[in-house]
Amino acid sequence: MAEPLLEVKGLSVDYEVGAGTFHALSDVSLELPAGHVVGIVGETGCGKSTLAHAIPRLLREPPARIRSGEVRFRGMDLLTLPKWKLPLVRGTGISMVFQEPINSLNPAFRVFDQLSEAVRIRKRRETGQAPGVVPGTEGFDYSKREGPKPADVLARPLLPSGPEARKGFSRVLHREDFREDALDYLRLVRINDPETILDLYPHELSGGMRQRIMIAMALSEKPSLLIADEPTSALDITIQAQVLTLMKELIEEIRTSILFISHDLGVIAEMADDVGVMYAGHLVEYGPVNDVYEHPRHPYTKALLRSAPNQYKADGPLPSLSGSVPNLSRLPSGCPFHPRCPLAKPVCSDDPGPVLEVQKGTAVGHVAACYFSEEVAGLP
Amino acid sequence: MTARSESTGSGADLNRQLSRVRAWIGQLRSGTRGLYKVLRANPLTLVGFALVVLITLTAVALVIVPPTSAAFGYPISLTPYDPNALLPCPTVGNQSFCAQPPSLEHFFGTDRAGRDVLSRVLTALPLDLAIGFLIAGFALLTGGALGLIAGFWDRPGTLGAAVSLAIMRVTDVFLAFPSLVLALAIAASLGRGTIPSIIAILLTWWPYYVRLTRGEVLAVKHQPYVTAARAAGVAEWRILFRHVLRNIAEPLVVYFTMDVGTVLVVFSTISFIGIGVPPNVPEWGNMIQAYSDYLLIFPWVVVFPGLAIFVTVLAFSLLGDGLRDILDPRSRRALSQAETATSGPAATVTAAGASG
Amino acid sequence: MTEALAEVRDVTKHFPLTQPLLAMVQRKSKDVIHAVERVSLAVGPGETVGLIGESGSGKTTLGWLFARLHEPTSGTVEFGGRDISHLEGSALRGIRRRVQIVFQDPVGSLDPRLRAWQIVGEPLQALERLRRSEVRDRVAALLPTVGLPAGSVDQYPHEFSGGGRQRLSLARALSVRPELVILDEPTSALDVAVQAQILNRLVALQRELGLSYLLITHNVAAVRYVADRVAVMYLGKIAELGGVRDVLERPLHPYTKALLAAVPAPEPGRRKTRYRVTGEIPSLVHPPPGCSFAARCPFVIDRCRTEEPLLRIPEGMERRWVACHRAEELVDVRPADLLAAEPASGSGSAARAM
Repeated sequence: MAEPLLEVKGLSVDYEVGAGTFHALSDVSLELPAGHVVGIVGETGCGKSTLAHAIPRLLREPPARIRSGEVRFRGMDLLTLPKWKLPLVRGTGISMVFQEPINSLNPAFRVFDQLSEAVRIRKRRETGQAPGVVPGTEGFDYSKREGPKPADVLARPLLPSGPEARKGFSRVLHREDFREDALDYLRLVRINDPETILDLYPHELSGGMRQRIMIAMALSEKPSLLIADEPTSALDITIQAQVLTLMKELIEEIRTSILFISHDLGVIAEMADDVGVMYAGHLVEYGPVNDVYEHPRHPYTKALLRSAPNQYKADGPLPSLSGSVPNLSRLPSGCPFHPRCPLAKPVCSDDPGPVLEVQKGTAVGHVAACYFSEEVAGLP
Repeated sequence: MTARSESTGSGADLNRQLSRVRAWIGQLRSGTRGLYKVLRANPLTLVGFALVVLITLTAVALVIVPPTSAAFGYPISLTPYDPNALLPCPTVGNQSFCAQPPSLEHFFGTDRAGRDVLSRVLTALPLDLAIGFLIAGFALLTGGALGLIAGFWDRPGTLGAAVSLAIMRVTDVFLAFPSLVLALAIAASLGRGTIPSIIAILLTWWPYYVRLTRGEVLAVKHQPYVTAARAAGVAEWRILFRHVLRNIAEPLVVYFTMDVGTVLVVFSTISFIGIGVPPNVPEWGNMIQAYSDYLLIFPWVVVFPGLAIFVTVLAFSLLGDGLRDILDPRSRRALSQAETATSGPAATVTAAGASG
Repeated sequence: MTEALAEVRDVTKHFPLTQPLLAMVQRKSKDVIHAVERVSLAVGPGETVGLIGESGSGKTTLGWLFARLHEPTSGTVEFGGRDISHLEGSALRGIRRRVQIVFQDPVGSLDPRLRAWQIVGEPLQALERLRRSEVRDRVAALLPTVGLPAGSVDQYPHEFSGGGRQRLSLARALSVRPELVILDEPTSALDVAVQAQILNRLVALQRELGLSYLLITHNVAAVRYVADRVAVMYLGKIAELGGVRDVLERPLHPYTKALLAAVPAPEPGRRKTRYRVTGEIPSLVHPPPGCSFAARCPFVIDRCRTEEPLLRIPEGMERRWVACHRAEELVDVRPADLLAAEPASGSGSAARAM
């Protein structure tokens, strides 16, 4: 298979705070092929948010510290990239949608100011007026229905050069030039009456509307990779369903690559092609969403799927996972799940723990970090 | 709490009392240990803490053994010389050179009248410190109480709302003046002296505490735990003391600690301008004022009192900064856990930012 | 039906908006937030009523009215047959002993400066005037019933996990043996695995102590498991009321159907589905005339926009109430029908065609 858009290899991140060292990510590896939606699911504190922020290097360092690993985005290793080059990757290369639609928009500026800024950055980079990763050809053609060619994705240089780049300097682009573009993107996220919305301040908008604008801002940079960190968790259920539907339609139309982080198994089931399950900073299972949900091969995934409550009082107590998530500063040896695992055997507590690997008799690409993944199917 | 041990003398009861006392001692001990650990973790706080302890102890000692009374036959003196004694000046020809640079005899040198600067700086310490504490403390009490009232009883349409409004408007009027200028004006109109200048600062100092306290109260009183206490049936006055006061105490104490230094500076300023303490009373601002014209000729006369102000203010600021950590059970626990890697059964501290 | 333990009748709660000084001087008519509009609801002894709705639906306000943390603008709040709408001071504290509340935010609702026993013992101290040592002993005995070790009485809230904090909150509510516990989003801040533990504990405690619950939540799964009856709220009014199985399996109101359709199910294959409800939740300051869901309803007719539907028993049914003009016609529309398989056009015209 061709080289993926994003490749994370053995990424480990620690937080060093007063109370000790917290291992937020331990040896996480995953691949995101261009045009795919990869979901990451896990409970609070499992490290999924750290992963989302570590890829574009948005972690606060310190307290965070990237201990080891490699993050290859379009062939560049982001972890060895000098710090000053990172902003050139963000935005048009990797763009993010955050959880809180209230805090993520600047309350002091109108929607237009914020949206046009995003468009301006992209256009300046495209015309060579400003350096930066320019959008790949892998997405954003509304008429395009085929997947992109990986070669095109990777061929783009970090800094544009040549006559095209110089041509751009003839005219400086101003924000007001982007009104039409801004309107286009508001229409893209299905906002009725975009002319009015454009002149409003964030506090005048509802949560669902703000999140649409965040999505519009992220998409208007035409990113090669969109990282959505719990984009709908702060929204009401019906509004969440509306925003998810919008995102699903955009995925079909735009075919952009998305890393979708959520705590909600249901949301991931709706959005993702592939899913990674995280527990205590470890990626414990990874595979196509159908396989993982229907034939989980890690006992934690199985427990997580089972504990989504869906029964009445009369049906008896809810199945629940006993124990609690381990303290990230004192992770158990070996497999982090073994103290709570019904399948645990002495081997599970031996260091180093199980690694993600393909087992016999299952679909290719469905991996689990468990020595006994064949026995998971037999669990209640 | 231990004072309430007036109960019957039955064995079980005594045991309970004992265990309570023991628990109390244990709490005290763990509190001290927590303090020690926070101090060890923040070296700057430790410096501030040590300096404040040193300064306070010196001041107390100087009050017990007043340097001016060495003449009255005190066996020991904490200052090398009587601060007001005019020491014999060396003369060359018919010119006397009273202002001597620092030497082994006079660590801080002597001033133009031939008085030992070190002795004067030390003598001024209790006065300056007492004034700092007095003024800041008074402002904390009055301003804090007013701010508490203005913040807590402000439900629209009640008497409390009217009172709060009145308090805040009066406060605003005071805040509208630059406090230093106002203090100077009041001090000038009251006439020269220590007491008038204290009153002048007192009158201008409390509004800051009203503002600060009210802001903190407003923030705390809408916290869910206050509503939860109300739902639990806790009376309003009890909510005020148990929840509100307890949670605003930390910023107030921190501000107070730093404020002691600020008051000192303002008081010295008033003395410096010449409307504060009488000219011959040893006071840092006063001393700087008396010789400010000679800064370039005999700098030591001015620099050492200035240094004294600087060190005192710095000490309180450093301590104030660190108090935040000492007073907050969250950071106190976190820091003491960093030392000993043991914790309770349910201790699940998640890393900041790791909330996925 | 048996005598209700707690009941609100025709209760309305408006919150004033802060007004600019000029408008105050000009004595303009005040804009208010219509949080709850003429709602009647009763909770029987030993019963769990689930109150489900989204933000701005007024469910929390209604719950707080039951606990008398709010005073109603109009209408009455009754507890044990007694009108408590406007009680104050010690009379109100007498009610607090019988009605307790568990708050949504397990971090914010616990005073960070107090130890576990002080927090949990707060109602005990306030209402029973016990001595400190007695409170501490009582709390130590109480903690195991909510699944916390008795030894954790001296810990601070931040030393507990999210689930642990919610258990503390629960223990605080149960400490004075109330008759009615109002659960305000008790599990929404928790992970699914912990959520199941807390819900199990809630149901077990109810069986042991014979409690009544008013469960306020946006979480359909929690209501499904804990509630006996469900009231669905939208924009300050009850849209639908009935037994939990009836409402969740054969919803009548289009909003209930929309809500159930919106719950993301952990089943792959929903990638193809498209949610057919569009539009925003209307403003609470200027609620629309007619049905409040009309602007988003796929089944809206002209009558809905002008005439407000009242909560009524639909024809041919028992023990069910719904506030919809077209409830009978739409009986056979399932929530899944609101998930179109083809991409919906943004205007919702495809939805309206059916």
